[in-house]
Amino acid sequence: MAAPKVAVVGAGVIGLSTALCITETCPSCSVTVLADQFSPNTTSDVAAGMLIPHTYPGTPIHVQKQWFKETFTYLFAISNSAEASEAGIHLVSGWQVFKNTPKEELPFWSDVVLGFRPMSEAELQKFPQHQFGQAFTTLKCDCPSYLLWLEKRLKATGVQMYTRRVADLWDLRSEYNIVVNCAGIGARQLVGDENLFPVRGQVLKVHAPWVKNFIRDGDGLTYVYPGLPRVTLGGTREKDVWSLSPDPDTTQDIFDRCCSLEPSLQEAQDIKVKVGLRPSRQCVRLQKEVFSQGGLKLLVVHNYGHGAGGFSVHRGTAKEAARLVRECIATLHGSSLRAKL
Amino acid sequence: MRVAVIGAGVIGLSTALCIHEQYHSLVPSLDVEVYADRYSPHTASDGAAGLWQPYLSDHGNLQETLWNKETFDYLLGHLGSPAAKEMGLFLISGYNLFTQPVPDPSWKNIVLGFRNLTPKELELFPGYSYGWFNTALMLECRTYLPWLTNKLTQGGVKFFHKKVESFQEVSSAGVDVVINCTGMRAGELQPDPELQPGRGQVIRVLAPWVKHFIITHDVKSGIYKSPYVIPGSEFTVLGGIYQHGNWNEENSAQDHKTIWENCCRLLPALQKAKIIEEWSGLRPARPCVRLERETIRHGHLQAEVIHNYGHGGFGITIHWGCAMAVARLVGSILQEKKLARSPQPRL
Repeated sequence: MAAPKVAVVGAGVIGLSTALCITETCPSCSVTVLADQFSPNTTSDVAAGMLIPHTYPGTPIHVQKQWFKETFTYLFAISNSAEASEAGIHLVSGWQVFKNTPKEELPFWSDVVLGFRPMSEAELQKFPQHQFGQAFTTLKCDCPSYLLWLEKRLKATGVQMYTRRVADLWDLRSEYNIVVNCAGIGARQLVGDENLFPVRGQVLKVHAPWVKNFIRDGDGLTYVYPGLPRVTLGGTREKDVWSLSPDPDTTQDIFDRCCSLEPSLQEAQDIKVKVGLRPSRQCVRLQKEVFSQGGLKLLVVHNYGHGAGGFSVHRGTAKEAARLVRECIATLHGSSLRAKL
Repeated sequence: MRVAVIGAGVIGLSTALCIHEQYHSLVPSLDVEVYADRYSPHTASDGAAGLWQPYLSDHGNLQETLWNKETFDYLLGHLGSPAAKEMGLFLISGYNLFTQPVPDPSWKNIVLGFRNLTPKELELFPGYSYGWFNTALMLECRTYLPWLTNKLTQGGVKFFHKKVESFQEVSSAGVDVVINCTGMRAGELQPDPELQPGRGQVIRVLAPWVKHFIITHDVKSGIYKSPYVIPGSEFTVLGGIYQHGNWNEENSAQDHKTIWENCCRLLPALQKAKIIEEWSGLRPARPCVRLERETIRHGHLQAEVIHNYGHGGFGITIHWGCAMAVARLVGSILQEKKLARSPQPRL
């Protein structure tokens, strides 16, 4: 049969990394990326891109750990290469601090990041409101740079990318054999998934280049992430809120909370406010589905619902999605063989 | 009473400030003046990356280790204050790399979170099999020196742009105490064969993705002869040159090549970094810091000189401890002249 035609819907970090994995594992495929938004207008562009996993209640821990480890290893190699600056990947060290000692002192990812250990008394003195903390070194993606770098690599392998609003996956059946659904929050409407809900996050991106370490409150609500070159200050977790407009009171609140963690931020300049909707779900939807209508079929691989943890697991889920695409190709191949018999 | 500080690098200005802060309210007649022919950004201090880190071994010089600790604690105390940014002060974490295991340094309990590197971390640095990780401080002199100058000016301290040719020149003009913070050129005021230049050269680049300092060590070659990468608030400093006895302050193309190749080998991502400028300077190296009082006699005139020079490549690291030690010596002089209001100066 002719080279399978794969459409990847969505051009955030999940869509682009999945498309790249598909070209790596199925070099004979023709891959096309379709999205109504590309960088810098995706949800991924708003994210800080820190590799600190979010725990999905519905996914076994060993699976999440595998995804994180694959992502970390992949980005670690890039950060250590000449590509690092273009891809926007860099190491960053810092602290996760807790007002109350957490029940689980060792998160599942503590041996994936580098140098994980409890903070010393002397280090904790810098955070008078916090009793306990963890120090470690992890990776950070400068999201707009990383997405552009992924796009560049995709174009180099011949992947076409089109701005197109896909209203129904079935519309793609005449042009593509397999559709990979990386629509993020868009999947709610695209496939009618009521289990997918937004968790609104507002962040500030500020000029404070003297901030070299990250600081995160263990509650996940307040964080300072130094980037390239802006520092991301966050944030909020507003469940089921769809508004993409920045809220000024929230901006002040985020700023105040971050300044209490890092007082020098009072001198931060040129504050830009961004909003993103984390495409949240009990577990990442990473599975095959067969759409049927009349006698016609469309093979779909879903890879969405990464919530707050998209960057942390993107490569791991992309590889799994690419594996599912291979299974789909085998199915197609099998069907075409059977058709010949 | 007139106190003249000669030298306006990190040592001169911080010493002037320390003296002013401690005594200006106790001694109403105190006049502090600063004399220098070079001011920021043309001092040796301005070339330094600004990382607080002593040499690997203190060679049993506990006094210097104590001054280092006093400096670190003083700076750490200022971190949470609004002044931190204006001082050019911030926290930074990073790596010290070795090709063989080495004993822990004298400063392991001064810095924050000191630990050995894990095997996975060492994978980042092929060729290095041992290392440390810790959080320390950056104090950028291009910002710190103007901040010190500002505070001194606000306090009424006068600045003079001139090259002082001798202690007598200053003492015969009526200065009671001369603070000698002349760094590399102290030998011009009083010969000191132990003071030798430790020439350094650095390349400043734009590499905002570098968030850690990385200092490599070649224990056989000696300090600063092995590549290092230190990210500042604006530029990242690449270095690794230490030439004992070389007085040349011009940039060397050979040294540029050495620094660039070695640093890019250490951090391949640097190949894409944009080079902004190159700088050379002379570390005022001495077997130990000269910090002591001396009475200089010239005819019937007598002046007290307090020497504070020879801080090599650790001037920023040790500056405040030394400044306070000088201030204590000034206190003794004030006592002797019975000028202080209260019996003991406030520390």
